[in-house]
Order: sequence, then C-alpha cells, then structure tokens
Amino acid sequence: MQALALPRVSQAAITRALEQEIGLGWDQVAHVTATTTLASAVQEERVVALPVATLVDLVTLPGLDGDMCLPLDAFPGPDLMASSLREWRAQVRDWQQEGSGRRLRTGIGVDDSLRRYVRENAQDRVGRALLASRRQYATTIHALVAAGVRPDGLVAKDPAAQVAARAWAQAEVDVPSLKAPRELLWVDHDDLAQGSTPEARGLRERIEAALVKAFGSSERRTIVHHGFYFYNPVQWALFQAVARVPGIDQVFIVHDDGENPAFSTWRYFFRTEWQMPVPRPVQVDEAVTPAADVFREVLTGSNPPSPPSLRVVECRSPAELVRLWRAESEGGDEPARFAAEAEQVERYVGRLGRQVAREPDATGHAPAPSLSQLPVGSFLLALHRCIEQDDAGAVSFSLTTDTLLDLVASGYLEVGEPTGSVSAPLLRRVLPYFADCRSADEWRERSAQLVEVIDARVAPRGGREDSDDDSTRIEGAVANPTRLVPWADISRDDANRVRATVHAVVRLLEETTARERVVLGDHLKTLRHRLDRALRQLPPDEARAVEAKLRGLGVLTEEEIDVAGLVDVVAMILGRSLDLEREDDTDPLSTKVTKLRGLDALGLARVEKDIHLANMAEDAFPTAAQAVGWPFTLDDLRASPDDAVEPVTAGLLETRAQTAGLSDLYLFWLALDGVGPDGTVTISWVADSAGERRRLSPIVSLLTVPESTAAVQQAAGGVAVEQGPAPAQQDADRARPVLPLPDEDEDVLVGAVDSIDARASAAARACPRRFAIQWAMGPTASFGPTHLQSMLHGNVLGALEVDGEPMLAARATGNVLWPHLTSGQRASSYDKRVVKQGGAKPAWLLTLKGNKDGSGDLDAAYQMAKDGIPVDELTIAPPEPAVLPPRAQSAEVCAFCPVQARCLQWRDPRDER
Amino acid sequence: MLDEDALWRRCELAWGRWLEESGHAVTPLGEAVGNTARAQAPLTMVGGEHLRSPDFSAIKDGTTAFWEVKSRSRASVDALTGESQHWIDKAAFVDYLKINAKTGTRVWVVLYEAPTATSEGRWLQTDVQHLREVGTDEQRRGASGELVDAWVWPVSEMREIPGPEVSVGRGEEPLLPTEGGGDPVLPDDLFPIERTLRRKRGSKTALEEDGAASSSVPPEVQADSPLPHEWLEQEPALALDVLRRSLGVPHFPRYSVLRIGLDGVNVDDLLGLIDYGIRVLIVSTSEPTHAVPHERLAAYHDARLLEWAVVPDAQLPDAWIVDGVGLHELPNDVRRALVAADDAGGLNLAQYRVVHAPADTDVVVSAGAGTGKTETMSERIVYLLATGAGRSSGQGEEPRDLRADEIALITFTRESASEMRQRIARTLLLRQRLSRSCALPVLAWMLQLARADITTIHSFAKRVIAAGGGAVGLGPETRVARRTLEVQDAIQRALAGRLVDLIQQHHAKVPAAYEWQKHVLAVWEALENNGVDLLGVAGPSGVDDVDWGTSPDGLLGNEVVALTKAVVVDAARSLSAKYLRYQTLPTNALVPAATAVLRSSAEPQVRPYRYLFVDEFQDTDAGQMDLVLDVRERLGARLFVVGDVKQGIYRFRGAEGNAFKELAVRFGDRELASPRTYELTRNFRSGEQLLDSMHPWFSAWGTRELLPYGAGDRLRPRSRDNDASKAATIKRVRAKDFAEEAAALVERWDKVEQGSTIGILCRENWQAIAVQKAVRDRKLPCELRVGGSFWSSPAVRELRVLLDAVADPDDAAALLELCETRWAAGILGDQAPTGVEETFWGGGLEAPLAWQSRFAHVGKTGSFLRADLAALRDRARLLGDMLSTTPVLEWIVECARVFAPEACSLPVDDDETERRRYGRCLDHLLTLLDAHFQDGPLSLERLLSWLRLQVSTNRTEDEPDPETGGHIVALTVHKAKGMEYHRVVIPSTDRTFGPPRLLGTRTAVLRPPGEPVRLLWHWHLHKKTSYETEYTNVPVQRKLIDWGTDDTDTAREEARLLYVAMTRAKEELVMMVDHSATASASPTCWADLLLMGDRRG
Repeated sequence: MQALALPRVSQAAITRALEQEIGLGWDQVAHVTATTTLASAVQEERVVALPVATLVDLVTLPGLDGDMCLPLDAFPGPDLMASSLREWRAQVRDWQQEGSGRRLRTGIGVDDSLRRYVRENAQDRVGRALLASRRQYATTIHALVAAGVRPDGLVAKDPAAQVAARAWAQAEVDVPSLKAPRELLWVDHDDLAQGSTPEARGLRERIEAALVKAFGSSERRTIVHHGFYFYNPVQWALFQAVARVPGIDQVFIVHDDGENPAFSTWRYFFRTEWQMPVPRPVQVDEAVTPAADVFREVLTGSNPPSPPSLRVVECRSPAELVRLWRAESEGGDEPARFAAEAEQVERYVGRLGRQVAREPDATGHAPAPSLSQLPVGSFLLALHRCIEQDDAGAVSFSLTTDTLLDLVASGYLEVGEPTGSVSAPLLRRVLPYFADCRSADEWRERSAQLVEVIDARVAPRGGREDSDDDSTRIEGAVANPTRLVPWADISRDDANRVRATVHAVVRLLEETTARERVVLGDHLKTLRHRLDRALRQLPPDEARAVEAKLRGLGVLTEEEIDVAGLVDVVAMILGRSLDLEREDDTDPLSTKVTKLRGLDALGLARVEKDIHLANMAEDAFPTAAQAVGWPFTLDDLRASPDDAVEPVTAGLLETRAQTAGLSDLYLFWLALDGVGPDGTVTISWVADSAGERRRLSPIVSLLTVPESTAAVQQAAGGVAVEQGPAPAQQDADRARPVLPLPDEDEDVLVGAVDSIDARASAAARACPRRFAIQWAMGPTASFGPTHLQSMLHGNVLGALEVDGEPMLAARATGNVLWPHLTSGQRASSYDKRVVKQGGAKPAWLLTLKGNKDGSGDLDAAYQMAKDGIPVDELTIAPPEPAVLPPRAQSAEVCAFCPVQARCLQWRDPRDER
Repeated sequence: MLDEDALWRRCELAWGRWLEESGHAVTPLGEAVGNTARAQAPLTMVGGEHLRSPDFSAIKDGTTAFWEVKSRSRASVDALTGESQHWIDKAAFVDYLKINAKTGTRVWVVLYEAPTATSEGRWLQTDVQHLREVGTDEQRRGASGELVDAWVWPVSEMREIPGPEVSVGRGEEPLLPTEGGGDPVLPDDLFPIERTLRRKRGSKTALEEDGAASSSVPPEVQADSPLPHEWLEQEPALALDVLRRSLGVPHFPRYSVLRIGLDGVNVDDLLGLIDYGIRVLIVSTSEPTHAVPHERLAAYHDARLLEWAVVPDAQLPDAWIVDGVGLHELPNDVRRALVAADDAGGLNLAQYRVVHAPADTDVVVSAGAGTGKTETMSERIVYLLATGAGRSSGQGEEPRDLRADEIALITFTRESASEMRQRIARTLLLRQRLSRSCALPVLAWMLQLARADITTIHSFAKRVIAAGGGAVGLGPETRVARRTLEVQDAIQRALAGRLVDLIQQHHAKVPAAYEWQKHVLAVWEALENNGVDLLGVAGPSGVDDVDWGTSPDGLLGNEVVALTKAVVVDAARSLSAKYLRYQTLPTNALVPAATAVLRSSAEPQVRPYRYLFVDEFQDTDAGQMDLVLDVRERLGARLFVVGDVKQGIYRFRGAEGNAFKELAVRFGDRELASPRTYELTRNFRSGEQLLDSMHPWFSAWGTRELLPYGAGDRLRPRSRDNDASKAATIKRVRAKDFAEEAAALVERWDKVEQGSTIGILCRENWQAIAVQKAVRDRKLPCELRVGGSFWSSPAVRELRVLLDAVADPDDAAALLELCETRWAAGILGDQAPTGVEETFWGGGLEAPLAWQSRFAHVGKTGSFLRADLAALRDRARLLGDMLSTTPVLEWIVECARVFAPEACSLPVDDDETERRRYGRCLDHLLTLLDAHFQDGPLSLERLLSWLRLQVSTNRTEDEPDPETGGHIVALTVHKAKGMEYHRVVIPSTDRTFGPPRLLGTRTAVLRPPGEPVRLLWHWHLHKKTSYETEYTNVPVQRKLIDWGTDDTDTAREEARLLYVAMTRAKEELVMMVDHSATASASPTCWADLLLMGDRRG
C-alpha cells in the first residue's frame, strides 16, 4: 500500500500524480471511493468506480449461508458501463436493493431475538428499556459487528450494556447472518497472507471474484482509493485484507498541501501503527477559489476579508429556508444543494417545500419513498402499533380512539357492511364516548351500547333526522336534553355506521393478533395487498424500491416472528432507510438533499453552478460523533480482551469521534473551493427549530462579522449575515372580499326570530356568535368541551327527572350516555346538579350557567330561555356586513360556551379583564 | 535564566537520586562512548549496533529498566484538537525502541514539566512501546531553533507520577528544549525579531483598515535579523514566550497579564500581548502614547481584550499578575492600586476576580442586574480552557486537557442557552480575529463547543438520561411529552370510588369532581415544583417526604386531607408505571430521573463533565439543586453558579429566592469544601442618575426584609462621558386608566425621541394586552411579548378553521368562519393550488352573504340560507381530495403558498405589525408541526384534534420574537428578564399579590430546614353562596404562622419582580400608581412597595 498527498485532488491532478508516481493512467487503475457521490463523479468519465460500501458488499454478501447468499451473477461488469452508464447503474442499484432486503431480514431477526431474550431472561426495568430503545441497540451492534467486535468478551459496567451484550450474543446464535460481516472480513492477517485456513482462502477468493466481476480480469491490479480522509474499522479491515491478496496494489489519494489545517484529518488515520501507509507529498499546481483561500487564511489566524462569492443567510424558520430555495430556483438554474443533517432538511423540503431539492439523481439511484407519510402508511402503522405483548409473550391489542380515527380517516379501512363506514368528522364527534375502551370486547360492547342508546334513550325523545329543516331541527334538539351530548346527537343510521366501523377495525386487529407468532411471509401477503393501491400512486422508481424490500423479505416466507415485532417490519418497509447504519456510513445520496459528505466529489471536479449549504447551525455542524453507540462505551471495548475487540478498532472509533469536527472543516473547505469562477457559495441555517433557537455554526462564524460593537466589527471584518425571506415582508396584495351591506326589513327579522324556538335563540342574548355556530349553522348543537359534559351529566338527569322520569331510569340513561366518566364524576355531577325539582328549570341546560335573579349575559340568556322570551332581532342578527355576528363582550361567557373549540373569536377569560 | 540544558541536568540529577532513594541501583549512561557535544543521547552497544542510549539504567528487585529523562518548559499544543503534546528526537526514539526490542528491557520516558503561573512543576511517565502506539511523526523546533524530526504524542498518554522536586525559579524556564544539534538560541536574539514581526503585522492590518490597496510594509519595520523570522511566524506560542520575556513578565501567560505601573515598560510591547490572544489589563497613572490605532484600541476594549485604568494621582507599585495567580495574597499596595483602578472605572476588578478564580474551586457569583454576568461566564470559560491544559485531578492519573465539551452550562431558558453558546463562541472568535497571531487553540475549542451541553436544565437532564438511563429503566429513546390529560384522567380514576363514598356520607359538602381535579392538580404541581418526585419513575417516590397536614375541621375535613393524599399517591403510582412502560416522561420528571441515574451506580454512564456552570441560579428549585450537586459530588465537576437573589421571580415554579443560602447549606451537608463567593455590582446598563434614584426603593425594601438588598448590593454605574438618564418617577393616575395613561406616555416619548426603545412592563398578560391595544389605538406600532400566547394567536386559530372547513365541508359554520380569516382572500380567489385543475376550481366566486341576510331566510323557508356557500363548499372538498395523495403538512404548505394568508391585509389599525406577526406564527406553527409529527403518520383528523387540544389547553408556548425588536414593546416582567429599554413604564401597580382574594383558594409548599416539605392548602368553594364550603390541611395553631410565611414569601417575590422591572430601564423610568393609593406598612401590591420607597411618598 502506498499513499500520495496532493494539494488538489482534481481528476487532472490525480492523473498527473498517478502517471508520475506509479506509471499508470487514470483508466488503468480500479477506482474505489469513500462515498457514492465521489464514485458517481468518477463514473461520469465512463470509468468503473465503486463506493467502498458496495465493494464490502461484493466481498461479503456472496459469503452468506443458504438463501441469504447474494451471488455476484447479477452485478454488472465493466463492459456494460462502457455501453450504457445508465443501465450499469440500474443493475448496480437492483443488486444493492437485493442486499438491502437481506439486511432487512437480518434486522428483523435481531429484533425478534431481542424480544425473546428480554422476555425469557431480562424481565426487568433494564431489559424493557433495552427493548424500548431497540433501534439504537440494533444500530450499535450492527456497527460493532462490522468493526470486528465480539459480544462475549465485552466488559461493560452499565447494566443496560451488560444485558445488551448478552442479548447480542444470543442474537448471533439465533441469526447467523448477523455475525457474517465480522466472520467474513475480519480474518487473521497472517492466515490471509498464507491462505492457511478455509476462512482465509474463502475471503481471498471472494475478494478476487468481486474485483474481477466489478473491474474485469487482470493479472496485476492497482486499486486507487479516493476520498478517505478518514475511514472506519470495516473499511480498514477491507484494505488490510486486500493488501494480503497477491497481485493487488493499493494507492490512497490524500488531499493535503502540507499547510492547510483543513486537510489534517488524514494524519490521524494514515499511521504505520495501523499498518496504513504514510502519504508522501506530490506537487501538482492548481489555484483555489478566493473563498477557500480566505478560509485557509482564517484557519491560520488571519482576519477574513469578505469574498463577494460568499453569502451567509439566516433563515428564522424552515419555511424561510424553503422560500429562499424557491427564490434561488426562480432564475431556472438551481444551485447544487447540500445540507448538514440532511434528513432534517429533506423533511423540511419534502413537507414544506413540495419540491425535489436535488436534480435528477446522478446515479440514477432513487431514494426510497417515505410511504409512512401517505394514508397507506398512516393506516398500516396505526394498525400495527395497536399490537401489545405482555411479559409472558401473550399477544393482544389496545385500540385507542386516536388510532381508530387514523384507521378510518386513511380511507384504507374496508368495512364491508352495506351501510358503509362512518365519516371522519362524525366519528371525531362520537369518539369521546369510547374514550376508555381498549380491548375488542370493550369496543364491541360500547358500539352496541351506542346503537342502543340512540334507539332507546335518544330517539324516543325526538331523535335526529337529517332531513329536517332548521326550525324543526332546532326545536327537536332543544326539546331533547340527551341531544346536548355530542355522541347522542346522531341519527340511527349513523349509530349503526359507527358500530359497523368499530367492528371492522376490531375484526382486522383480531385477525392480526390471533397468534403470538406469525409467519412473516403470510403477513407480507396481507401487507402487499394493501400496499398495491398505494404503490400504484407512487412514481415507478420509488415503487420499485419498496418492491425490492418486499422481495428481499420473500426468503422469509416460512419464518415466524413475534407478532409484536410486525410494527418494526412495517416501519422498515415503509421507511426510507433501515435505521441500521451509523451516520458516517450512510450514503450521501440517500436523502433528496445531498449530505455534506457528498461534497467530496467537488474535490474531483468543481461544479459549474452555485452551491448552497443548508442547515449549518451550531447543533448540526460540525458533526458531534459518538465513538460507540448506546448502550456501550469505548471503555467497554478497551476493557475487553484482544480476541473480542481488535486493538485497532477501539483506536479507530475513538479517533473518528475526536476528529469528526476536523473532517467537517475539510468538507466545508471543499465547498468553498467547489464552485467555478463565477459561482457563489450560499451558507444558510434555520434559526428556530421547534422553539429551539439555533445560532450559526462556529466554523462558519469564522467567516462572518461578529455580533459586537462597530469598532470590533470593523477590526474583525468578515461576511455580513443576511436575513432570509421573512413571511409578510412583501406588501399585502390581497384583502378579504367585502360583504354586501344587509338591509333586511324588521318584520322579516322578527319573523325569523319567531320561527326559532326561543329557548335556543336565547343563546344569542349571551353571545350572538354562539347562537350562529351552535344552533344555526354548525353540524350539532351539542356541548363539546369535556368539562361541560361533566356538568351536563347530573343536570340532564335532573331534567329527565323533572320531566317525570323515575330517578333510577334517569340514572340508567345517564350511565349509558356517559359510560366513560368515572363513578366519582357521575356521582359528583348528579350530586351537584342545578336542574332538579325545586331547582333550576331544564332550560338551564342550554347555558349551564345563569341565575334567575342575575344580571349577567348568561343569567339573562337563562332567564329568556326559561320563560320563552324571544331575543331582540338586532341582537341575534345585527346589521353589520359580517359573515357571522360578533362574540359576547365578556370573555366570561366563553368559559361556558359549548362551541368554544370551534369559535374563531373564543377568548380565554384569563387574557381579558 | 536557565537554559534548557541546565534545567535538563537538574532534572536528570534529581531523577537519578530519586531512583536511588527508591531502592534502584542506578547506572548513569551519559558518559558512554561516542557522545558528542550537545547531543544528549549517549551511545550504547546493543546487539552489535551503536544506539543512542537512555540516561539511566536502573535495577530493582532483579528487574532492569532504562530511564530517559526529559524536561520541558512548555508543552506544544495541537491547534486543531487543542491537545497538549510532548515530543522527543525521532532518531533517539527509534533507537530506544530497538533497545527495547533487542534486550526486552523496558525503556521509560520521564518528563518534567516546569511550573507555570497556574500549575506546579510535575513529573510525567510512560514507556516507549506505548509511545509507539500513540505517537506520530512530526517536526519540532529544537535547541538551535532548527526543525528536528520528532516523535510527538499527547500529554494525556502519560501518567502523572510522584517525583523529586526540581528547583526552577521565576523566569528561569528555558525557551526551547535541548533536542537537535547546534548552538542554543537565546531569547535575546529573538526579541527584535518578535517586535519586527509584530510591527509588520500591525502595519499590515492598519493599512487594511485604512482601505489601502497595497499591503507593503513600511521600511522602518522591516528590520532584519540574523535569525529566520519564520520560526516565530509559524509558532505564535514561541513568539509570545519571547515577547513576555522581553517585557519581563514572570511566567508564560495563557490567558491574561495584568500590569500595574508602566515604569520601564514598553507600552507597545505590552499591548502586543493582545496580538497573541492574551488579555491585557493595565493600571497606570497616565496613558502614554503608543502605536496602536485608536479604532483598534476601541475594538480591544469592546472585546474585553484590554482594560486600562488610569488613576492619575495614585502611587502605583510595579507589579505583574499573570493569569490571575496570587490574587488572594496580594501585597497591600497592589491591592490598593487595583481598588483605585476599579473605582476609576477602567478596570472591573470584581469581574477580574471571578474570571481568575482558581480552577479547582467551586465559584458562586452574585451578579446584580446589568452587571455583565454573561460576559463574565464566557471569559471564565476561556480562562479555564486556556489554563486548564493538561491538568490531572491527582497523582497517578493521566493528565487530560480541558476540552470545551467537558464543560456543561445550564441556563433557565432555551433562548438564553443559545445566546450563551453564541457568546462563548464569540468570545473565542474575537481572540482569533482581533489577535493577529493567536497562541491559543481557539479553533479546537470552537469545534469542541459544538458538542458542549449548553442547555436548559431539562435538556441537560434528558441528556443524562439518554446516556445512562438504561440502568434505571429509561432508554435513550425516552420521549418527553406533555401529559396534562393523562394526569387529569389518572386523578379522576384514583378519585372515583372514594368520591362516591364521600358523597354518600356527606353529600352537598363534598366538592365536585372537577373541583377535586383542580385541587389535586394544584397540589401536584406545587409539590413537583418544589422538588418532590411524586412519580418516582426512576427512583422511589417522594410522597412520604411530605407533611400532608391535618385538618382543623373534624371528620369530613380530615377525610378530605386523607383523600387528597390518597389520590395523589394512587395517580402517581399508575402514571409512573405507565410512563416507564411507554418510555415517556413529563418535563417535571426529567430532573428527578436524571438524579436517579447519577445515583444508580458508582460510575454512572454519563459524560465526564469537569465544569458545570449554572446561570440564573436564584431560580433553581430543590430538585434541580440536587441534580447540580450530584454532578458536583459524583462526577467531580466543579461548579460555577451565578445569579441574583434579587431577581428570583420563579417562586411559582418552586424557586424560593434563597437558592444561594440553600446551596451553602447543602455543600456543608455533603461535606464539600465551601465555594468561593463573589459579587458583581458594576452596572453597565443604566445611567448614573437613574441608578441612584432607584436605590432608595431597593434600600427601603431591604430594610423591611422584602428584598435581599444591603449596602453592598448597591449597583454602581460604569463611567460614562455624559449621563443621559433621569431619576425614576412615580406618576399618579386612576388605576383603571392604566392602559390609556401608559399609551399617552408612550406617545409622548415616541415624539420626543423616535427610535429609542420603550418597554411597557406589566405583571400579567392581560395588562400587556390591554396596553398594546391602547397604544395601537393611538396609531403606534406595538409588539406584544407575553408568555404562552402562541396557541391562541390568529395564525394558529385560523389554520384550525381551515382544517375544520376542509375536514367537514358540510359544516356551514366552519365555512363561514373560514370567510372571516386571512385565508379567505386566497380561497375565494381564482388561483388553484397545484394538484387541482383550474376548471374544477373555477373562478369569480362571490363574497358570502352577511349574517343578517342569512338569518332572515329562516323566517321565510324554515332554514337559514346556505346556498351561497355551495361553491365554497366545493372548493373545500377539492382541497380535501388533495390529501389522498399529499401528506398533510405538504398540503398545508401548498395552501399557504397559493392562498398566502400573510399577504392578506385587514382593515384594522397597525395591521402591518399584525400581518408580520401572522406570518411569523404561521412559519413557527409549521416548524412545530414538523417537529412534533416527525416521520410519523399524520391524518387531517389527527392534526385537527391535536390543534384543538393545544389551542384549548396549552399556555406554555411563546410566540416567536419579531425579526427586529420593535421599538415599542408591551411585555410581562417574566418575559423581560435580560432585556433592556431606553425608557420603561410600569403602568399597573394595584394588583393584589397572590391569587385573587375573591377565590380564597391557595396552595403553597414550605420547606422548613431539617423538616419534611410542608404542603399547605386552603380550599374555599362557592364563596358567598349557600354552598359555601372551606377545607384546609393547616391546623388552627399553624394557620397564622404558615400562611404568614407564605404571604411574606409572596410579597418578597413581588418585590423581586418589581426590582427586575425597574432595572430594565437605561435612561428613564416611570411607574404609575393609583391617585388614591397611600403608603402601607405591609405591602399588598406594587404600589405599596413603590410608596414605601418613594422619597416623596
């Protein structure tokens, strides 16, 4: 192995250096890159270049056992690239997706193993915490396996780490493919050099076969490694293994001019102690951009002038970032966009921008869709999240009202009854009635009870008929106190629809949880059926990615997993990534906004356009890398014997964690040096992230004018920070339409007042707006807020009693109308009722406040309702040109308003005195 | 001065003796064959090869080892990692490895680090095999100044060991180590080079500052020298060492140099220390001329890199203080000089003392309003980083450089956390920017700062849990969530059966279930805020640590008391199990859970914090203090707490206003050495007249023990050329007219001086809202900053209306409300959103009818008119249809893009301000929705339910601040913390302290020393009605004393609030008091407090 240090790593510079130092041309070597972006840049020259992750897969996946083995046959050779780069990339992608399917299968197996381990061996707080944080656990152990670490020798102090190590050891027994990356790559180097063991011979053969397949046959081969300003243990293992295969030379191209501090990361990695070559300098002359030059100066302590090609923009919110991007795109020439914590920005752009942030993918590699955002995802995740497993492994489900609403609102629920499914708004109104339901029996019984309540308790007093005109509807509703309850103000048909919907959901959940363990293949068929409709709506490439995942899982047809694990399976199928990779190892192109690691391609060739680096905030850049993932620490590794943890592994992990910030310095420098002579680099960050104020990254702030006095700013210099496009910063360009001035005759208005039951229109005396929303125009006149429902219980019972209903019968009605209230709430409400014999009149129910002698707005409303006095016509229908009448003057009225959650003008009494 | 060779010889001799004294048979190898002049590596024959030999071989207990002795006056520092490093000649190192390999004999390297200003000399040890693994090839400058091939390793890879004392006098430290050949370079030879280089840099910068195109260096500074300039250009630390020697500074400075008296001192050289990032403080009788341009000097002053006190008539001793060392044992004349400098205003002595407090002590700082505590903390952190290099906590340990990410800093709000991080970064950055050849590894610290935990205490607790919570059953994916409804539900369930029993026995006297809910929630909140861990998710519940009281009212009263406790206990138990199961914690449970993590084992798996800074310490409650002290005690982190007891305004969250006293007690309880305490009283905010005028009020409150204010607390003004401030005044108004009166005053102020900032400080949200309205009625813009108003802002409410209309287009009320919103202009317009065909969308939609016309229809047809809404309903349906293929948030954004509600103007006064607010809040809402729902599924219905819940219950989210601070702002005192305004009016001062007396319902918690937490509640229902009932858990004999204590504490907190409000003013302060108010001995409202301290009142 040898390494060359070049002050620039453009293709021209590398070509010169290769010719000069090893006598080979650009086309005569095999190119391996640290990232997909860099590989993609090399491939543009119609030269095969593989990201190192793909090379690792080519070496290891064919070594897996049985049907997990992924042969090389389908991987395209160099000839195809020569004829069609696009087709070559498509075939590489297909092969990789098959690999993803196998990793997904391993992930599912590990998850299942953990569940069983905890159930059988760690039924305590610690075990449950491990299970709850299983994604982090899985990411950590996959990374450690790849780093050559064995679980049995770990010496952990933390209780969670101790349990995790034991669970991991068990998972290696249960899921042999878990340990494969270690067993297949971390072979003793002496054995490898001599080919003295079957494992060593196998690895050598797989390396040779992979290289032949990818790069073509060659007696002697030189691999040129690009972009490894750092490397991780699995990459180190690959370099060392390849080094011991006869006939292969490796040359590392390192970016270094001997002066620029931003190039220093490699110094920590290319060390003889780790059997890595120390780079030797090679002189190649090429100029850097003014912005990069300034940054280099700054790093060595100079004051920065303000290069015109650099902009720093503060966006106060993600929406401002999106606006900024939109403005940049208006000229038609979008900049190349990169982002720190790109997943976050991808989410911003996807959700808030509705635009693809990156040009059509250079690799032809379509990122997996986030189906979870679409109704099908909502449906499937809601369905599977209901599944519960107790400590003994017994499976049940727990269905909440929110989940039921999600299932119904998704549109994917097949009720299968002639009456059909209930509409979401009506279901929302009814669901409080089911607030305490969780199990199948509870849901079924309650839905039957609802039908019965409507039939037997509400309808006989004047049930809801949707065909009634408003006067009749209001009169009926006023006369029937039970209809002041939101879930009771529905028709018989609606009650039956609610029941049918509940039954359909319960049935579906019962089918899903019929057994503790489920054959995954069978369940996938069900999923497939539901996904079909959604996949048809997706772009073809995105649908293919999901298909590939399902295909990869296809080999699991006969395997059983815990039903409780299905939710993770579904999340992984619907999600964009497998959540099994550490940040360092993820593909820069796996997000729609390229990750900063993708900047490495700019070293090879500058872009002929502007660059925008987004999300360069203090908490996102530089990266805060962790040496070892939860629940282990570096000390756990260090304390372990050598056969459990290679000494180099701990050293590499620690070095990587400590130098992550320096790596980011390098990437930042590449960006500054990555544009052509007329290009601009824009750096932005989002200053408000969900209420968290974020400042500019300290690295970037090295280039900006510090916030300080004028004297300091003048002395310190730097680029002035611009403000992003704020909302409402443009002039108002629209106004609400002007309403025609009403001019109704008094007689007409009086007639209108007379046509409405005075008990209902009395509400307008308290608040005209309330009358309009509650009685006139809204879908129900019932009382929404829960605290008013508690009051209503006892008083409705009181009203029924006043109306002649025996106490026990009234109470029975109360019990079935409000079954979700506790016995204490019911008893208390009844005990405190105001409406009763000798107490307030039943009309009090319409205000739930008010006194026959009082003079407040609500008192007056009660008095008018009680006495059937019609409200003044100009009170209920004022002459202003407004779509709805104004609210009450006093915010106190709002506290007892039945439509407070639906009123735009509702005020918290605490805000007004 | 010693040369390095002499120091090395001392060390070698000392180590040899030390080995002998510890029982080794020592053979010096220095006289071996082949030794050459100045080659400190003698040769020895090993395996037929002449190799450089270590200094000694020594045998003990039959085991032989080689010893190589090194000495260093300075470690080198890696500029990109901040790590201290040592090195030896590479050739020698290779030979030592060979010796080790060929003989199997261990080769030890021992290295003596000479003392510095802030640390004693010490011995470090390692062996060459270890160095092989951890070192790297580099070059270092040897004795003659030439570069030597070196083997370099981090100091942290060595172990600090006991060793012999080596005598190194002040200023004797050698400049360069012995390695390499050639004649040693002498500092005297380098002095002129350093000066030349510095002038060259200065000239270059001056030219740049003048905007000159050429950067050519004037000939007078191009002095030549026999030695290469590059040595010093490339190594700022070496250049700094040369400069400080030429100045006569006794130690190599790492952070600051304070000079008293300028006799014999070249001022340009002294100021030149700033060129290397060293803070310079000067006390002199005059300001002699110097070459630093005025603008640059101003920048140094502003960046606190320079403080210069001129005390014309003082007798000043000549003295150097390097890195603050010796501050606590200064000679009297030096101390007097510093006090005089402080009085003169050029030197902030108190801040200097705080910043330079010894690194291994705990520090408590009482910082009055406007005294620059943020700046003090930032400088303290730079001081620690600069001087904390390579310290170990004791013998036998590996020395570790202090990294910025080993410092945690807790602030009270998220905003101040971010501000603090930025201030530290800025302090560091200015070292780099304003010093032209910085010797400090600023870049490394800035990189590390990104990982530092600078955060609120709840976020800090969450991080502790994420790292080590597995041990107590909480994984890193533990979520934090508001669980108000769950708590209410748990209370009702715990109450149910018991309440039924109680009602059956006592009927009407039993409070209603919802009253119970309010009561228990109040108790719950009061206890949790006072550090009682009711839930006990990660440890034992604290319910038994509470004195729940007894009732004076017989059977029912006692049953109510017992029931209160029982409900709390049951609800806490059920919630605790639930939280653990679902790995979710309410915010209040974070701190106790983090404390449980720290206590879970001897070595909890959390970050190894070495310093913990706590800002606004006066607002720390009991539980938070436990966490802070556990970090101190269990992790060994040193504390730096800063705050002002006079500004403790969070009693309702459990902060009692005695945090500093409590801290002192708890230090004692834990047998920790007492912290050093300091006070900052120099106020940088208010003018002298204003400051002086406030003193009588504060003093009067202090005398009556309402404010912890003594003579020493009096804020001293900073020296200014002219004082634009006026004395604070009381204005008599009718209390009910406060909003109008304040608006009138604001209008007058605005006319007099446009552009100066005006703060209208109120006690409660509603007051600020009322004043804002009054100001706007006068056609003046007025921002509003009140706590927790976000979810009731128009942007939020109107989005709810849009969602309601789209979710149920048949709901005519929702459609009508939609027409009232700013969305209406767009939705009734002709532009269709992307994804909806123009033909379906249609055009020419007419405005809906006015309500009266719609209403009139019912008389004619029996139904209200709805037909005109058909087209709008269709549009709502079309919008709803988009959701089958568009995720909800994307859909909202598309609606916002095309309908642009923030571009819709309303015909109201000051709509410009409101429109901007609308846009800000809509953006913020999108941010919150995105963060809350992350990648999870989200349906329109789910979003609508969630939004309604937030609107109706959430009063904790603040609106985002405007892009630029409005110049007139109405705000609450709680929102004014840390703010300042040129003019301040406090318009309403007649609100009675505590909860409204009309209710008579109170809950409080007392923490008597040495006793359980005492819960007090008084529950007064249906006052003045036939149902009037009263319950309490305070026995008659304790009623006066316990509630009296609470009343006093309440009045004290109000005095503190008023103190905060008043000290926000920079130039003018007006406080409005009701015209009929009179002075009162026992204050019940702010007006009483004001009249109490009014010289005229």
